[in-house]
Amino acid sequence: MHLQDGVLSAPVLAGGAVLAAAGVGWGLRRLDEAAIPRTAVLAAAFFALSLVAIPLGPTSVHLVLGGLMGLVLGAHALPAVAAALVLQAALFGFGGLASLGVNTVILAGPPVLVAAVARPLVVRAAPPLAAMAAGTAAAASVALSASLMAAALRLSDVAYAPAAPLVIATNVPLMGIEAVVTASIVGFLLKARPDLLGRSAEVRP
Amino acid sequence: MTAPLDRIDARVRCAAALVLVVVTTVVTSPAALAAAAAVALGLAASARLRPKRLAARLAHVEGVVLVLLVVVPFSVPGAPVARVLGFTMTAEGLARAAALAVKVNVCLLVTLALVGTLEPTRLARALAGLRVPDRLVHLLLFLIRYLDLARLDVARLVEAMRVRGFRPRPSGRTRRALAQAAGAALVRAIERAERIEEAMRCRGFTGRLPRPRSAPLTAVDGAAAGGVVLVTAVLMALELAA
Repeated sequence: MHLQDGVLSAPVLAGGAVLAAAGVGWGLRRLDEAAIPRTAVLAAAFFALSLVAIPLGPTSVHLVLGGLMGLVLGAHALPAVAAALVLQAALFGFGGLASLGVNTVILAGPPVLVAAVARPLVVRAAPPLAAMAAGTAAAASVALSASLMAAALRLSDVAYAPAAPLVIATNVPLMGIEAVVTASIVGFLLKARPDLLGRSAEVRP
Repeated sequence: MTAPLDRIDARVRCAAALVLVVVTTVVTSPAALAAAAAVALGLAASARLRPKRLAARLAHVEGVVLVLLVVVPFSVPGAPVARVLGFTMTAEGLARAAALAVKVNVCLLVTLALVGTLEPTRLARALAGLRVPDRLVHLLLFLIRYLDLARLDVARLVEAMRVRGFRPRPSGRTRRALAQAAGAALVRAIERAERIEEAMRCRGFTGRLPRPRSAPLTAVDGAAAGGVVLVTAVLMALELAA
């Protein structure tokens, strides 16, 4: 879910670049240098998971797992997503160079925001409630990302206006899928590696 | 076999790609867009991009771009050309959609030719040379290193599910199977990260990597930079003349 170079207007690209630079800078300041390998390996796993297409009826969906990434990586998700987008733009031509900022804001901003809101529940609540909170955060993350993308299109060009509601509508099924899958993954992680979600590892069997 | 573009410094190529993409984004006149397309094709040729792979990549149109190409002919006011399902298609709208298609493909060609042909680690070093923060460059280097491993991990999990006869259906069983596979991938990742951390600490890693020294720029790089300035000037002149 990102925008190609050549689609957005220069002011929107510039605004996205400024916002992304601020966010990535903030994330980098909170990233201990010794934690860089760990962040990169986890980001690579999220990236790899998002490349898997799950066949669904006549089409297929890609999981984004943004909400879960926000919960696991926290503020580090911002530089991690920026780095992943650099690779995607350079190696495969997906997204693009001028759109790096906007795409970082669309893909990493919502995960970090929703995770900040949901984290207290995910860390402290009983497992079923923690999983539900994570699922809700995942759906909210998809909704926010789709809204940001629609806003970027709408602000770029009035002629794109009819596409904005379409972008949001096509993401509604993904919201549901992300919510249930993320809740299930969190349920699994709470048993297998609760420390990944910031819970103490004492409850591990 | 080295392509002519390989003689240009990676930093210059990254900066040139960004400049050309931004200029292409700004221009709107048909003459400027045609010139940009010619430049992009020239770059693709001198980067020796493989035509087959390139055609496959260009044929893959992102969903959002597709939606815009369908919407724009109808949403720009102007001289009506045709009516489809009660919506009026305009000449101006068709021109805008064509311009959008050209822009997206020009940006893609320029990026693939100038940046896509760089070795990933060379790209990371070039970004360090362009004053991208060290920590972000390190993150990028580690991501390059571990992305293939992560993809193989996930591919193995998917393959294992397929072998066991997994068929995705809208059911709780599918949801649990997917969640367990994804969760397993994440657990493997964190376990790998811990092994890497331990191995690096054994070797005295404290978070610092040697800063790569970049080679000085040559006359070829100067000529390339001059070429980019010239192309930018020509494109802007064509745009303003329209």
